[in-house]
Amino acid sequence: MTKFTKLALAALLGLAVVTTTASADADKGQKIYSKKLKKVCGMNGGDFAKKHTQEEWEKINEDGKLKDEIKSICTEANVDKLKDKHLENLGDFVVEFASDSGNVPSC
Amino acid sequence: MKKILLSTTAIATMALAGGNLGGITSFEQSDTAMSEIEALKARITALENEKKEAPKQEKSSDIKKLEKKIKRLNKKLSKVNAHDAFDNIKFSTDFRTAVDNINYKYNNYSYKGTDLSGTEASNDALITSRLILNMKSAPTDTLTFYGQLAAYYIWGAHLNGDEDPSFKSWSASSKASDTLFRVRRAYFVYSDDELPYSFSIGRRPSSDGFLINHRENEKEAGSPLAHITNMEVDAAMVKLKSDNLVEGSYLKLIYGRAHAGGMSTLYDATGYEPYAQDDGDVNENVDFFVALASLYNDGQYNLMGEHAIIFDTKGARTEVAPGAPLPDGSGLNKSLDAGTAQLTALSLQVDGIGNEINDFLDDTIAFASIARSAYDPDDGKELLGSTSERRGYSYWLGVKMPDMITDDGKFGLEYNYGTQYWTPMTWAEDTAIGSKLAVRGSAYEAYWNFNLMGEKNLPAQIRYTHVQHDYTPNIRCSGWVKPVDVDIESDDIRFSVSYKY
Repeated sequence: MTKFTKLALAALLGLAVVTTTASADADKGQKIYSKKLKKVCGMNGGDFAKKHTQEEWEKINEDGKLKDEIKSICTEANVDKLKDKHLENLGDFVVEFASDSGNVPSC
Repeated sequence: MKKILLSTTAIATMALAGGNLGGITSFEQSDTAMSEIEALKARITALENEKKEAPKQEKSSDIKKLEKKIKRLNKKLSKVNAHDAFDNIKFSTDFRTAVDNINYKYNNYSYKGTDLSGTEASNDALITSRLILNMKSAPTDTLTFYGQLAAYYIWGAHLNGDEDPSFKSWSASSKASDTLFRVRRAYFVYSDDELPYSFSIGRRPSSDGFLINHRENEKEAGSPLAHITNMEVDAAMVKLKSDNLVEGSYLKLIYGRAHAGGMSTLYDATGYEPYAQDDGDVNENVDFFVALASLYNDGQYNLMGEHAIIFDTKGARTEVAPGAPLPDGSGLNKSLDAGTAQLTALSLQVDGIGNEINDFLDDTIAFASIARSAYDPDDGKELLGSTSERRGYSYWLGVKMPDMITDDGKFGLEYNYGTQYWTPMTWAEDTAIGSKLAVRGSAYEAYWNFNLMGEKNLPAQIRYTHVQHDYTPNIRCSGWVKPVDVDIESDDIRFSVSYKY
């Protein structure tokens, strides 16, 4: 390796370990939806998230009623299996792809 | 209010002073006045109470009005948001800069009669940048447009895209070349939930497909199975939904064109025949038909299959070496349409090992894929140096797991193996040393995807690829070349940083 490539490697390695605090993630929420809810809900993640606007989902998240809302949309869903971290990520996912977001998920 | 108070006070004063109020006796006067005073007092009290309560009532009704107004505004804002979001093309950026350290070690290799065995070739720092502008618009719930414009260039490069005849549109945005923006993807999808099918036409998401998206650090895979197809091509697609029969399943039927052949002039360089095709079966169009299926997908286990048929794929005439003069003196033995290629693959991805055993396994992805290529020449033609069908086989294994060092960082390991005649169409694979998936030999790869500075919008990668070619490398369309024994070791160490937003 030349000096340049060694330098590039060292810089990347150094900067790689600078991290931020882990936070809720819409991508993870999308994955959780695909794995745990898509089948029982009978609709894709996009259609599910479109059930509300961003503001409505945010309110539901703030009030801690996401579990209830999932249950009301997908009556057959076993929401008790959803852990808090699942709900956090799902909450981010539905806001990201809400009916007025203009975003379309792939799941 | 003031008037009432004044009159009340005056009457009360007169009454208390024993004044004559128009010929009424003093007792009568007194009784009447007292009752009037009492009535007025009561009225005053009532009015004072009203006065005290009035602001409260006014305030609460104001708040209610404001709340209603906010609600109306929010509804309007949602409508504006939705309208705005779907009323235009939404752009996003993927700008990557990479440094590749490349080395080729020729242990046994000859090229056009020159023995290069024992020599090496390298590039200590190939620096490239790739700018992709992603476009998306959805004028209605059923219609969506997707597009990608890309410029993938070598720092300080010539406009070599024009100079290298092997540079084709099917890898135009995937091979580093010059600074021109090219169309990488442009297609619309019509999909109605009420209908059991959807369709799409355009320049397809046929590069960076299923499974290769992991090493490309792409969240979403392109459409085809990357084991056999990684090309930028134009096609029409019909998707038949079968999710109601098997979870997550569907079938896509795709017909497209990879090569528009035989056109001598766009104007009149060969006479007045713009866009006309030459006679004879020398340089025909190369069309393809693909059946692509998601066989099962429950979000964790995703099994996909693909069969592709490429018509009139290029090969050579028999008994004359490619490039040599033809016996009839009509020119050189150039590549020509020579037969049919069939590619088949079956790929399984497991997204999350086990069922919530721990976070590490939940976030680990493992995959395995097997594939076959079969090149069948027409009479009087040869493909891959043979007049009979030649089959090649390959398998591909990979795992991607959390790095346990950074947030969202992943380590990946992959292994590929291909036999002598293994010839997939993966020329748009973004590997500087040529498609590792097309290796006729073994390829080993390790990569680390992480977010630089912990920024989600700055994904970075360190990747090492080692390829052992046991037979002639297959790095571009060259069905007229016979794979022969070679011993070449290729190495590529890549460092890349992207800006994505």
